[in-house]
Amino acid sequence: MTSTTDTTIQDKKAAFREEALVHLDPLFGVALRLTKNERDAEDLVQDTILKAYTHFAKYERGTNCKAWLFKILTNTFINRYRKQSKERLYLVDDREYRPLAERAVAPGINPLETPSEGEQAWYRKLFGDDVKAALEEIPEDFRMVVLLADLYDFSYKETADIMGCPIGTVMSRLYRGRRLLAARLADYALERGIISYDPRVEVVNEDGEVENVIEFKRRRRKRA
Amino acid sequence: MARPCLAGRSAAIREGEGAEDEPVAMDCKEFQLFVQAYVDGEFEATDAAAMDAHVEVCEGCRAEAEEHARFVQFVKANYEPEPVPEGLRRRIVEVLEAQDAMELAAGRAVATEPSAVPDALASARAGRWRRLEWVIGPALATAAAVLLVLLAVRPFEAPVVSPSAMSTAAMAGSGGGSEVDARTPIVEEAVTWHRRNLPIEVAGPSNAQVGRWFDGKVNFPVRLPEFEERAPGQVQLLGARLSNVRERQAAYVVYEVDGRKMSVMAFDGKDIAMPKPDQGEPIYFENASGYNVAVVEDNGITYSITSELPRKDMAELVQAAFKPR
Repeated sequence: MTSTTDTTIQDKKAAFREEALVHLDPLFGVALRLTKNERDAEDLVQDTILKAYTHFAKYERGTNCKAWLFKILTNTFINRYRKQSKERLYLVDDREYRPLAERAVAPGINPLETPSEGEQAWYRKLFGDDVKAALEEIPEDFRMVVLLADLYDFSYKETADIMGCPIGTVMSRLYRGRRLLAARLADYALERGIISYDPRVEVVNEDGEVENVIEFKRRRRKRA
Repeated sequence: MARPCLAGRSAAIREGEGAEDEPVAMDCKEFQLFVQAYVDGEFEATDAAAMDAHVEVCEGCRAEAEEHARFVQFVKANYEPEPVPEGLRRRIVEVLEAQDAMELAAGRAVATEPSAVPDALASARAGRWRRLEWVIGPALATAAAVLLVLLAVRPFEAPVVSPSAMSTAAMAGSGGGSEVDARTPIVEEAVTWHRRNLPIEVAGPSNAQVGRWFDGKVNFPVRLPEFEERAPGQVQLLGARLSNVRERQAAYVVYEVDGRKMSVMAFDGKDIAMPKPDQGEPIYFENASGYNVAVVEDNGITYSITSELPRKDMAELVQAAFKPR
């Protein structure tokens, strides 16, 4: 008679390697953007994997393992790292939320005005860091949604499941998150014609309220 | 949410096709509500058709949809995610191995006959892991499976013990002694960690190996006490994990001494008040909830040592390991 315990463990390990360990790269990428430093990111990923491993029996084989892992990662991050984080942001209402940082100074002007094709790779590397920095500057709730939906290709539904919030919340956070990101990348994005309105510019609307130019434009168009 | 409405619009578009009074089947206001979801490919074909039809005829909305798509593309194209570091990948494999070993030990603890584990891997590890059984929990023999699940539920959060719970525990442990719980927070935390049977992250028995594992994981050098010097074979280093004391990083190390568990927490004790030993005693001791806890400062690092060992035995061990250098 052989040990069932050991056979079970070997099976479990093989399945875990196949289904879960293949997602280490994206888990680490998101962990790094959330914790903003390599050491915490490594701890977060390690904690996530160990939790997943001990709970692997509860995971239904063949379902969305990646989303399941990201749910564990997100919860672990919120429970462990956000608690001790100095950056405390309480969001009252996504719609009304207007962080001061949104109106803060623009990112530094890129020294490379018009790169040639040959410079693209280098340029992207240089600018890629700006994208990362911009992401890390926006509040966590928005950052998570942008990361999951825009950069790690999760659907709204999967993102909502991972974050444990309604799809509507994902949509509004994604909208705000992209705006916040655009504000930080405005110089480059405007110059390249990626966006047509400067998201940092504010206008006074018909009701005398200060409003972001994009919101203003949207409302005008909605009314039209 | 959006779907029924959009589906309705699709129908309206079909009905209204070519109608003079409805040149734009879906109005801009409606389109605006869903432009982001549309661009993100969140609509099924039928719903997307209504949106498609609108952008065909409305330049403004098309421009807006394009701008959305362009921006997301732009962010994506300029984002190069970092791959997982090789060191972390290796460490994860090690941690999973340790976890397997714990589960094997748990399996053996519930197995009634020794012949239940003749497997090659199990016996190869048996020597090394035999002693881990109580790390998983003294109640293992009766409720191993349940306990494992319970332990695994929240293995990483710092233990939270309410003051009232601690007082109750202290009363029970000390036989209902003092009204005032005068225990130092360091001791409280040592006992809380000691009582929780959290999975270890690095396995013994090598002092040096376990010490090295902490390199780069905690912000102080981890020097493990040399318990073995005095009584070789009496103290077994089982393993260690990361922990925290007063929100500081700490190394949590588990030993077995004469079949009983002893744990050591090492952390940077800077600015934490050290409890003073009783007069004539070289080391601070406290009995908390039935555990003996010693607190020692050595070379800038504070150590709390917790066990159920008799105080005299523990004092000898601790004094030998932390003799003045």
